[in-house]
Amino acid sequence: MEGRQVQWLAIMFFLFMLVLAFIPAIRSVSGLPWGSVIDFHRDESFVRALLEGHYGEDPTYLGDHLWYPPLLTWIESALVAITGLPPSTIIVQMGPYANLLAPITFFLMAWYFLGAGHAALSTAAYLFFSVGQEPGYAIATYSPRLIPVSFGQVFFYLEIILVDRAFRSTRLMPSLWAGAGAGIAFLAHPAPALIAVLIFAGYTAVDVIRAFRQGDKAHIRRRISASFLAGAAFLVTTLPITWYIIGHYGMHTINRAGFLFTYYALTLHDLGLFLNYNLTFFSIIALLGAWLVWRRQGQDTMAPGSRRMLLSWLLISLVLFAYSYTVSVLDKHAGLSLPGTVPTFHFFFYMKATMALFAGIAGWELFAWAWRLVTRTSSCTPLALQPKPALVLFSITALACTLNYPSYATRRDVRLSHNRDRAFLENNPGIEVAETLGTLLPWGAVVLCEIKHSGWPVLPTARHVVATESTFGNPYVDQRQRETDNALLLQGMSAPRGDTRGLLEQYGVTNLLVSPEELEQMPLAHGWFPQQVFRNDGFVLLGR
Amino acid sequence: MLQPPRNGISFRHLAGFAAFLALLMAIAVKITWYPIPRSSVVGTYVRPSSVLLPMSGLPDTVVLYDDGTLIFSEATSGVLFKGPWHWDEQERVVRTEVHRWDRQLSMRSTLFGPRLAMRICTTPVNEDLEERDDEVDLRRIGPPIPGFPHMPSP
Repeated sequence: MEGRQVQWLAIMFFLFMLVLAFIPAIRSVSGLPWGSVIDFHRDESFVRALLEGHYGEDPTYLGDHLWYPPLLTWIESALVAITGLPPSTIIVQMGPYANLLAPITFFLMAWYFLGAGHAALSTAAYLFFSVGQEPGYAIATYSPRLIPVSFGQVFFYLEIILVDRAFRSTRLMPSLWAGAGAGIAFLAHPAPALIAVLIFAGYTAVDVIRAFRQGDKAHIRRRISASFLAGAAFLVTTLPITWYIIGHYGMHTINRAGFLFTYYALTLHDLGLFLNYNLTFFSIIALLGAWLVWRRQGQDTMAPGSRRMLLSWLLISLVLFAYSYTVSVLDKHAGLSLPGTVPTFHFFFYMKATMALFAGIAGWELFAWAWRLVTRTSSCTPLALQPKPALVLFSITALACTLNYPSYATRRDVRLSHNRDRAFLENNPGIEVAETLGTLLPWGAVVLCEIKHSGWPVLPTARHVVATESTFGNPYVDQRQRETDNALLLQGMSAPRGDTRGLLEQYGVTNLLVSPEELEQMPLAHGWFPQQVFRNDGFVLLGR
Repeated sequence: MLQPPRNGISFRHLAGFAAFLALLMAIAVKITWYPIPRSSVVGTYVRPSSVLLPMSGLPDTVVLYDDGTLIFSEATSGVLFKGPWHWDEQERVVRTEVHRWDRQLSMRSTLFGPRLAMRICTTPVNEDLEERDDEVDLRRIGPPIPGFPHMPSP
């Protein structure tokens, strides 16, 4: 009965936090028909490709294939089809709503592993204290920006529950669900799926070794069967993308710029920024929590196996983070090309999520110590299951959230993102291009333009280019060759070159998009592209 | 000897907790979003030093005059920018007509009132693909100094 009362208190406190977090998020997208960040433009290109009936094709490079996790763009496409709103508006405006699933699933996951009381406290840390003034894309928290890194965490939190359940027995079905869950996570983003798969693999190895030492061959057979089934479920679930990246590309990465990208605050050059953001009270509490879990303290309300899960999650994120970082450093400074996965900050993101859990655990333990000191009581019931202490702790934490709220609600992730989007909308001739290019040109059109114009305004239109920004280009395509050829083609618009005709044919170029100022420097452009298709203050679109 | 738990709560406790949370929510909104008139932005601000934030070459003094003049100044380079400014109350941001300095200053709320914050990245806002929106809070030292940058001797 008393445990139930704690649960009700935790739910009430969680709803309070959810509403508080939602208000600045919804304000930050108020009145925005477009978002400024290139991630939105990339996602819009895949949405438009799907809506125009070209699923599985690369909307940027003609003849190439899907390479980016498609789950979020499926959802966005469905919302565009249902509401009739433009994709850009859906992508910006749905962020605060769709991303609410992140704190909800985080709370459910924390409840599953730690109990309701700890879950509420960890969620407070996750929402209000972990992000500080860092960008929302680098920290596991609730962000108004609907991009795969923020939305993908939803599936990770659900997946690790499934992984835990798969290892409570050697029955096949829980492993099947865990494999399918990892596959769905992969469709949302590779980073959470990679962490989950490695946790699963690690658990399998430990289980098999333990059974081997005990001579339990039947258990080994059952575990290996269950894990194979999980692997099969993973492969089947990921087919909507692996069909292309394995089937067509064989996972042979050529363009490494995407996964070599490093969030600037994680570079040695900006170590000061990293310390500025991470030498915080939150970090101290979180490290205390990690130490408590390591020492097996404060686990009265934890589900069996929670300690193992939390530490595995932290360790694997840490190892992947270190590996990705090494890959980036060796590539940049030593010219060594080790196989990469995703940018380093994605693993930092999931390390931060564990920190929020650890902070919740430490918060409870510190409070329990103070409570027992003040009330001079001892009880056989864990404090986290007693309603009165929970009521007091939740009230104190709610007060702390309120006091921190002005900083939280005007943090850079909402305030400056909004200002940036407003700046983007002012005097932006590219918006008219982005809104009309899809109707002016067919799917098969290939636009020659400067790389900067390929990111904006061409990218969101799902019309192809010769070369785009390397960090947003297909990783299985020779990006450098395309960049070189793009430059040669543009040179061919200014001065005669022998390779222009051949390159135009090779890439199937149909149009040229330049600024009026650039066009003045291209006396040969009208010879290659005699028709003017569109013109405004910022851009001229010519056709062959 | 261990005692049985005596820490149950009643429905009145739950209702009281709900009312407390609703009150906190109202307070949180009240202390975060409020009008910041232009007059309260006017003043002289200095940038505190920091060993962790990369701020070389950034203005160390900012003066927002009531007549609409804005000065960004740095000790060794002198005046980095002098020109008109206006206050966007909806966005809580200082606007200028010069791309480099536009939207570099904005007000954020804190528990102790609004703080004018300055971006420490020198790239203009909408040319900054990495979104380097790191900021430093400026410290208001008083009303605009007449005749700045020739600081009066103490």
